[in-house]
Amino acid sequence: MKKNYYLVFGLVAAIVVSAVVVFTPNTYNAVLMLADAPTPYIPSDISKSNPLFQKGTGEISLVTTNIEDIKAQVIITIKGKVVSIGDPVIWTDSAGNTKGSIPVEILVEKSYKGKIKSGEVFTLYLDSIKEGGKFYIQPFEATFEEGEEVIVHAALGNIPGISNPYFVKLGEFGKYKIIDDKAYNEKFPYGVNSEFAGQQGK
Amino acid sequence: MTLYDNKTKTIFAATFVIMLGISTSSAYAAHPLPTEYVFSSANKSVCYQMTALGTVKVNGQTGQATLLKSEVEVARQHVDSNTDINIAFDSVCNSGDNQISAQYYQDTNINGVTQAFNVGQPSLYKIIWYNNNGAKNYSTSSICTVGQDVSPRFIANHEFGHFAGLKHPNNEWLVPSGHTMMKSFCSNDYAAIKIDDKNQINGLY
Repeated sequence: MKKNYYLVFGLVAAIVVSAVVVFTPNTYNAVLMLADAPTPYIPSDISKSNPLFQKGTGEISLVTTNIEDIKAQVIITIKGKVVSIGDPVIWTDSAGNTKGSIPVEILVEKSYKGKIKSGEVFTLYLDSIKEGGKFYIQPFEATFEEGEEVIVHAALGNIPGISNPYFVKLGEFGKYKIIDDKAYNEKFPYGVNSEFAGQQGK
Repeated sequence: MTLYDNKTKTIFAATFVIMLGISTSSAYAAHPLPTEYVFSSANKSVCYQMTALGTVKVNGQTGQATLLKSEVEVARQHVDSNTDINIAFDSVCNSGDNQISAQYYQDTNINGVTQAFNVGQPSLYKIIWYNNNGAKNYSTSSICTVGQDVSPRFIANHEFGHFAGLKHPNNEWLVPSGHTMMKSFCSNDYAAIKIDDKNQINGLY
C-alpha cells in the first residue's frame, strides 16, 4: 500500500515539476540558471554593419520588462530575417540632442499581429544619439545583425522626416534572436519556444 | 513493508531541505549587484541642463524644469548623504560634465537612462536622461505602478544608483521585492536607497 503511495506521489510530483519547467518560460530559465548552465545567448553586434554604430553603455528604468504588460501598445509582431541595416536619418529632438534613427529592414516570414504580411519588408528604426562622430545606440535598445532571424514586437513612434517610424517596444525586451526555433533575449538567455515569444504581444 | 526506512526518509528530507536552501539562496542573492563604470574618485558633481529639462512633461505640463530639478535634488542629496559617494551640485554645465538632462525616446515606457561616456578613460562622465516624449508624463504625487505616471524623484534615486556604478541584478525577476532599488522596472522599491545597495556603494568608494 505504502509502496503504491510513493509511486503515485512520485509520478504526480514528476509530472507537476516537468509541466512547470516545460510550460513556464521564467521557471524554465530559472531552473537552468540555478544549474549554472552556460548561457547560449550572444547579443547581436550592430557595429558589424557600421563601425560608427556603437551600443551605448548605461542602464535604464522601465515601466515594465514584460511585453505582455503593454501588449495593447504593440501594433506589429513579426518573425523574419534581417536583410539590411541602413544609414541613420539625422534629426534634432526638442531638447537639442542630435539623434540618428537607424533603419533595420526585416523580410517577414510570419506575422503574429498587425497588417504586415509574409513576404513583405518591414522597416523599424533604432534610436541613437550622436556624440563625437559616433552614433551611440541607446543602452536599452535592441540591436541587430544582418542575416539573423528575429521576432520583434513593434509600435509606431513619431520622428520628423520619417513616415511610419516603427520601433521595438521595450527595446531589448521586445526583440528575440531565433536560433533553431528557440527565441533568446536578455530576459530569456536560455531561450523560450518561439511561439511563446511571438504570442506575447497579442 | 515500507519502501524506505525512517533513516532513509530522514536523509531524503534533509537533502531536499539543503538543496532547496542552496537553490533559493542562489536565486535570491541580489547582492553584490553587478557593477559597471565605477568612478575612480568618490567626489563627483552633477549639473542640470535646464533648457532640456524644460521639455519634460511633469504633472501634465512642460516648462517644469525648476520643479523637476527640485525633485532630482532631493534624490541627489538622499544618495549623497546616505552613501560614501559624494555628489555635489554644480551650477554650470560644461562639456564632459556629469549632467541631468532630457532626450526624446519613442517608447513612453522608458522612465530614465544613465549613460556613460568616455568609458575606460579618466574623463569618464555620465548623463542621467529623462524622457521628453510628449506622451510621457511624470507625476510628483505618484509612485511607480504599471499603467500610472512615475515619480521623477523615484527615478532619480534609481538612476543615482547607476551613477554610482550599480547595475540591475542578474535574474532580477527572482529577486524579492524590497531587496534593492536597482531592479529595472520602477516600483515602490525606488522610494529610498536600500541598505544592501548603500553598503555596496560604500564598498566602491
